[in-house]
Amino acid sequence: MLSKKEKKLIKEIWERLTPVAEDIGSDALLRMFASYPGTKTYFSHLDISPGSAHLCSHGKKIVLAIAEGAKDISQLTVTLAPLQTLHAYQLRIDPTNFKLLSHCMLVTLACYLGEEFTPVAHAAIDKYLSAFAAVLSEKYR
Amino acid sequence: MVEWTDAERKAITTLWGMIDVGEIGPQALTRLLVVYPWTQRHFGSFGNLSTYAAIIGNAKVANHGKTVMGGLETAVKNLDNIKSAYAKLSAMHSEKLHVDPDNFRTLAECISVVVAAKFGPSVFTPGFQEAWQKFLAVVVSALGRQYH
Repeated sequence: MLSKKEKKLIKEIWERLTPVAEDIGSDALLRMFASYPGTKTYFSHLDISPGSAHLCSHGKKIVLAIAEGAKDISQLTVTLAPLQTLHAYQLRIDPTNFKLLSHCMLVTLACYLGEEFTPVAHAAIDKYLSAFAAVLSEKYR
Repeated sequence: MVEWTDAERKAITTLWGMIDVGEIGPQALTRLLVVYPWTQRHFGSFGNLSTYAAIIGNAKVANHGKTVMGGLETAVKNLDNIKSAYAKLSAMHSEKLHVDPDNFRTLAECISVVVAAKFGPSVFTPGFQEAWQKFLAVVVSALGRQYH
């Protein structure tokens, strides 16, 4: 459950991160691939080495989608409808992996925001990313 | 037996050398209680945990955070023997404290986030994060070992 205050905080944070979406996204992905090698199996068709064009564009895509959803969290199901279809019928990424990326996203945010990534911000974003992942996997079955 | 690469050993001991348990511990436990409020169920004797301010200012939380974080010293000093080093502590958490071992995983995640916030991306690189998380996972596993 997200309070009004939390939704506002989430929106502000992701708005700030939009200009550096590529850096944030590729960092989180790299951390996930390093700590959870099984996640690399979904990227065998791409070059995911540090600094690669694929890694940067993919990281950017993911962060921009998260930022888009943050603009109006109450409309998450509407906003994510195309991505729901993509993940359910084409990508079919096992949903447990969403948790792994979310954790790495939190670590990336902690690294870059430092003290600003307060426990309150951490809680709000963790809840948002959980909701995001849940909506993303809604069409799976 | 857990196999550690030289790089992993180095990462773990480097990070441990930089960590002030009195600082990181309280922050990690605070995060656990704030981000995952249901974990407060284990701290009924700690007094007021009803608001964010209450948790942040709670001396028992701070103290306990320091104790728990300090407990990792055993693992750092016994990297090749973590399972047996934590046998007693595991039994205690199961039989006396009745803590769901899932909470160990959650606290480990909070510790990583706090360490990341403290040291930033140039220290807490993806490689260091991998080693650190592997280290915490071994501790988590050892702590859950004696449950039955």
